[in-house]
Parts: sequence; structure tokens; C-alpha cells
Amino acid sequence: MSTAAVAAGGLLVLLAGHGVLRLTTGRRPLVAYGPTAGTGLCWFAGVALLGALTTLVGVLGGSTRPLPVLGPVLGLVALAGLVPFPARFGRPAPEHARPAPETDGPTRRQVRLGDTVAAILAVAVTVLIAVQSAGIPTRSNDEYAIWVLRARMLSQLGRLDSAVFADTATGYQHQEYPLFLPALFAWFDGWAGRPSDAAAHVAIAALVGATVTVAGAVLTRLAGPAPALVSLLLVLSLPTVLSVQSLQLMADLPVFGYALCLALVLALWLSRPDAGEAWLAAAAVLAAGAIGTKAEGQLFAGSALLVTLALAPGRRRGVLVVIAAAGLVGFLPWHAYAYVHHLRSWVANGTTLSAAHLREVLPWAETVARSMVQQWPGGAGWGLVLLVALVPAAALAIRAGHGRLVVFVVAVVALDVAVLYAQYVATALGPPSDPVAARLLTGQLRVTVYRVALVPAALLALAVPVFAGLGLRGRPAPAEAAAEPVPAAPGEVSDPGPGPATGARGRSPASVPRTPRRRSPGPAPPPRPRASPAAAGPRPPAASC
Amino acid sequence: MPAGRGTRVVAVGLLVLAAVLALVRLPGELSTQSDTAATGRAMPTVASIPVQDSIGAAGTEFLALVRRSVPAHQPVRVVQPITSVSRLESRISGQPGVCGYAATGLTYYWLAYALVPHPMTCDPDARWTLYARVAPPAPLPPGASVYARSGTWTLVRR
Repeated sequence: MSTAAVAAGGLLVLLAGHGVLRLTTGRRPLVAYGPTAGTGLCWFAGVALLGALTTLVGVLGGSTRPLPVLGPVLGLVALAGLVPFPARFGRPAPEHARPAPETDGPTRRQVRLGDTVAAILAVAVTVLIAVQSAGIPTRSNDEYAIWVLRARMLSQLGRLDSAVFADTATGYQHQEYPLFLPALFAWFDGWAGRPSDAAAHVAIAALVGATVTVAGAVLTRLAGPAPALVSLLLVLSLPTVLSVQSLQLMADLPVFGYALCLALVLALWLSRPDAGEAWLAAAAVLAAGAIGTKAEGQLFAGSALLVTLALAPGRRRGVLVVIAAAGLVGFLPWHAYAYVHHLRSWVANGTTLSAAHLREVLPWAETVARSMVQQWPGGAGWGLVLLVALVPAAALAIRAGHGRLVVFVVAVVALDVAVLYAQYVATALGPPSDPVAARLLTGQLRVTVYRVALVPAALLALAVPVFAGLGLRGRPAPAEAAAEPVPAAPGEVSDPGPGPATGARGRSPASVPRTPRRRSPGPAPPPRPRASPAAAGPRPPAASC
Repeated sequence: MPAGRGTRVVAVGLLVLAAVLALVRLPGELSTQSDTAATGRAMPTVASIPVQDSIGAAGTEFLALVRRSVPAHQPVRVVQPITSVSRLESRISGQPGVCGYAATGLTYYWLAYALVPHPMTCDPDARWTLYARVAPPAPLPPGASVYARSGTWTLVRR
């Protein structure tokens, strides 16, 4: 009974996420993003909605149990997403409002293949993690001191009790951490009818699965199915991701999932104008999830959005501000609660940012840099080979006309690393001559770098196959040249190209070489009008599936 | 414009390299995951509370008793042996040993977790006080009595 109830609770979250995406895009998520990414995004969106709602209800003094508020509201959103929309809301954007079709993307068949592989991998990873972790009780310190403790208070006390969430604050407990993850655990406790570590583990497994689906689908649309598969395997093989972190009830993997997918979705939006505007709604949901899951999520979401803002064409920048605002909305109630209860940030506060403190801890700069390199996820051994391989891979991508994507990845990684580095230095509790401060900082670096640096580490790792994949696709022909009608030579039959989305390696008509022209065998058929992409109409947006 | 042959060779080489790296790493990760999970699953529990080495089976049994005995949702005040104030402590004052102040922080958090749904309280007039590995004051405050005791663990009720 308990298992069925937990499954029902999970399904409600999934359907509520479906409702969020449906209401914000006007399109069915499984169609707008494809079934693979659509399912993952529905789960991400549902978890973010649940977290935002639980926080809001808790801050307002309401019950943080599934009844009487959370369940019905999620149910309403789920229902709203399932009812048919009036045609004028559900229609895709008119032709002239759509971005110009990109000519270099993967074919529909490639997208389908990449999505299928990502889906299979996601199911396998989710089942594996769930099976391995479901029987593990809460046992490690961050689980019981931070995440599960809060979840149990939300589910067992049924309210946001300031005695728990504020009064006994110490720096260790990071009382300012937001509540999305505890809210998810508490939700399943409520459906299980008792505290359930197993359900919480399954929830984490599903978040990892969602990460695989969304990342796999986006990477397929960016670079093709093979680079996407290699990227996913690289990310999953990052040290400690599966072996340690997937078994813990902590926020590092969830925030990693939200933030990595956000960065990839923004990269897709930057690189492929034909990807479809629905991905912007996905970006807003992912930003909200990253910000509401852990403090580092604010950094990861902020850096990805900031870099996108800098690289996006002028007319599209306004949309990014809307995404950032939407991402922050769910976090505002918690921010207000933390402000009222003086739950100050452990990283950025009056003490850590004071000139006197910074002067005192600045000598740690070198130690922190060295330690971050040593503890970098996957930064040793073969990982170093991968880092070296990044240079030729980036050169290939730039040569293939994807310089903006390379700049995006490098800038996001640099910004993330710079801020993480600065926070480690700033939060040292004293100068290097202070043995207690030295011990605490060393321990802090040892037990956190491999977890909090996952986003930049994963971006660096997957950049190699993605850039190589883009290099493999070749440089897209300039749109003007491609659209230019090519006069057929007398007695020669024009080759209309392989047709939309059927060319070898996804080459569309625009990327088919103009010469040499191929003569048709046998008697020449009557001449046909030259088919230019413009005349053939826009290429079906394979990337948006 | 399709990639040249040289470009294709380099790109495929990089893809293969990345794939090999991932496939070299994955088995080790999966094997470690399996071992870590098996260790975690084998952790003994008492009334669904995992037995931490630092608490021991007897201490965990007492915590289960406290969780059972204290009426639902009533808060518990915890008193522990006094240590120096942690550098991670954000409170600037408090009663040493009480409510996690100047006490072993991780033990305090574990007690907080193990006693859920009873929230911790710093209220000196709390109805329930758990003396964790520290003797209660003698004599007890007026109106207080020992509700349960096991070794160095004592639950006092007012």
C-alpha cells in the first residue's frame, strides 16, 4: 500500500510538472521537447513547483503535509495541464515569429536515436540507483544534520517551525539553505504515511534519471547522438557521482542536475535558433530548481544566465531577464523567511566580506587553489588527458563555426570556478597560522570540492565529445549563400539535395555542396525548378522534435 | 560545408578517447557504488534509528525509548558534555553543553534527527530534558524527576 501511495505521489509531481510546462509554453511537453526530455523536464518542473509551494505554505504558517493544501494545488495544476487548450493558446508561433531555421542540426532520425538512447540510459541509471540505495538509512552527517532533518520536521511536525529552522542555527547546519529538497522528501513521507528514507532515495534516483534524459536530449540536438551518449557516460563516470553521491540524501546531485541541464539548455538556445522557444520555459524551470535546491545553485544559475545574457543577440536578451526573474520567484518566500529570522549566508555576510577578514584570509589563496586542483572531480589521471583534449576539441568547434558555444562553456566554467574559489578563501575562519582554521579549511576542501564543483567539471568533461561532434558535422554554409538560387547548367539536372532532414550526417539542402553536379543515370527527366531552402519552406525543426 | 578528412580523423579520435575514458571509469564507479550501498544497507538499526558507532546500540535504544515516551511533538532539550565553542558556531552566547552550544555538534544533530518528530528546544523550562552522556544535576530542579535512565543517558521530566 505504501509503495503504491508513494508511486501515486510521484505521479502527481510528474503531472504537476507537466502542467507547469504546458501552461507556460502552451504546448504539450512531450511534443515540445520530445518524450525523453519532456518526461525529465516534467519531473524537474514538478519537484520545483512542489518545493516552491511547500516553502510558500510553510512561510505563511500553513501545513507542509500533502493535505490540505499541497496535494490539491498540485492536482489542480496537473489537471490544468491535461485539459485540451483552446486552439488559439495551443497553436505554435506563427511562421514569421519563428527564428530562422538552422541548417546544420541533427536529422529527425538522429534526434530520435539520441532521445531513445538517453531514455534507456536514464531508466537504467534510475533503477540502478533506486535498487542500490533504497535500503540505506540516513547515516552521513550532512544527511541527518541538514537535509533529512528538515524533511522530517516538515513531514512530522507538518509546519515550518522556527525552533528547528532558526533557533539552533550554527554555521555547520547552513540554516539558510532553501527547502526544495526537504520538501520533496517530506512529500513522500506524507504519501508513505511514515518517514521513508527509501522513498527519498527513489526521488533522488529519479532526479538523476531526469538529468540524464534532459542532458541527453539537449546534447543530441546540439551535437548529435554519438557525442551525446559519450557525454552522458563521461558525466556518469565522474568520480563519486554514482559511487557515493547517488546513494546519499543530499542536495549536491539534484542541484547538479538542475544546473547542468540549465547550462545545456541555454547553450542549445544560444547555438541553435531553431531549437524552439519552449526551451526557454524549461530554462526558467531549471533555474528555479537550481536556485531553490542549494545555495550553490544560485551561483550556477546566475553564471549560466549571465554568460548567456552577454552572448545572446540584443533582441533576445529581454527573455533571459524574464527567465531569471521566474527562477527567483519560487525562492523569494524562503529569502524573506531567512531575512526575518536572521539566517545569514555562511559564505557571503558582513564578516566574510569585511576588508579586515579578507586581508587575514588572503594568504590561503594558494592553498585553496592547490587543493581545488587536487580535489577536482575527475581531475586526476585520465581526467587530465581529457582536459588536454579539450584544446583541440575547442579548436575544431571554433573552426566549424561554433565559437560562441565554446566561449559560453569556457565562460560559465571560469565564472563558477572563480566564485567557488573565492568563497573557499573568504570562508576560512582565520589566517594560515591558526591551526583550527587550517584544519577546518582543509577538511572543508576535502569533503566539499568533489561535490560542489560537479557542474563546471561536468561541463568541461562533456565539452570534449560535444565540440568534437560539432567539428565532425562541419561548418554550416552561410545562410545567404545557401538561399541563393543556383542556375542549372544547360542539359544538367538540378539536384534538389537530399531533402529536408535526410542528408548524410544531417546535412540539409543548404549544406549540400553545389558542385560538382551529379548527372542522373538514364534518360534525363524534365527539368524541375531549382529547390532552394527558401522555396522549399523552412526545414522542419528537428531540434524541437 | 562538410568537415575535411583531417578534421574528421581528429574529431573521431577525440570522441573515441572520451568514450574510452568513460568506459574505463564506469566499472570502477559501479563496483564502488555496489560496495558502498551494501555497507549502508548492512547498517544495524534500532526501531528504525540507525546505530551510529559514536552512539552505540545501547544509546540508540535509549533514543528510541525517548522518541516513544515523549508525547507527540513535545520538544526536547538536550544536555551534552561541555566542549570548547566550535568555530562554526554562529550563536554568540548560550549555556555551554545545552542545545548544542559548546558541545559536540555532530552528536547534537544526530540526536535531533533521531528524536524526530520531537523538535529540539533551548528553553530551560522545557518539560523534557535528555542528558546525553552527562550526569543530570543533583539534586534535580524542583518538580523534575528521572523518567528513564540507561548508563550515561538520562531522560528527565518536569
